[in-house]
Amino acid sequence: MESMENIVIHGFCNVTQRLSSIRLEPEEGIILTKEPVYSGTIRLHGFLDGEMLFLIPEEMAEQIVFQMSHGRPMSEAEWDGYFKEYLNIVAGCMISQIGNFFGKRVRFSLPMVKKGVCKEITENEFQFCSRHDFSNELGIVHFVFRYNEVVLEGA
Amino acid sequence: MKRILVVDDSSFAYNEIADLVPSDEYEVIAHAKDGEEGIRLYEELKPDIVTMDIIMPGIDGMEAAKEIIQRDPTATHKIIMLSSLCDMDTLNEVHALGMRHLIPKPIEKEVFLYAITHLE
Repeated sequence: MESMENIVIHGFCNVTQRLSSIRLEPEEGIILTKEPVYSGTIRLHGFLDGEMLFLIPEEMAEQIVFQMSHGRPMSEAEWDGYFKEYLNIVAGCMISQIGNFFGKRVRFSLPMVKKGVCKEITENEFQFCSRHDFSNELGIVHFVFRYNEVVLEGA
Repeated sequence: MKRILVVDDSSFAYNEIADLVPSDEYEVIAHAKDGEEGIRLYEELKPDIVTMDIIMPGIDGMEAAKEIIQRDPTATHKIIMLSSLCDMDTLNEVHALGMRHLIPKPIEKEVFLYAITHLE
């Protein structure tokens, strides 16, 4: 039976490789990266109310988009669109499997992307929180998945 | 030559589809970046095939597909839904509207080519 852990690892690693040929290895016990990152946030709603947070090193993000675009020259806006589409596809793959796993509907927002150095990942009010780290020669990726389960009366 | 309208907020999807289809049989004629533009361009250009993303700003792809089908019932044989969101609920919704295909992203070439040649 599929576990959430497997869904996340499969979603992240396999989809990243399919889109960009970049391999990621799951890691454990890694401290928060101090490198400049692109952070992507995707809000979830429906059966799960929560968010997915991606922290991807700048160089890795640039390589992902480079591979997706086959090196096609692009404007900043187009680059932004490609990166958001990458996050959208990784998240969508995971969310589809989560939805099928629970037999319930989860929907998600378009990604919001920012750039900078991550000082900390703040605590919040979500019931469930898991963090998954991945790495390759381009750096360390942090993925945080946190949510509340929404239970509807009569459901 | 079959004419394809791509409805997707992402240029990645547009470029990918343009690269995937055999250029001697298919032509990607336009790119709509949201559902509303998709509906307008469908009416204006009357494409043979529409690839429709689901999650987009404004009107989502499912609503846009419903609107197009309402205006043109033959569109059920023209629209291919494309999405990273491919759970059973979404698939059932696609079939309930009369469309045949929901293709997951990342797009697999063979799956996409099969869909555009088996729309009926």
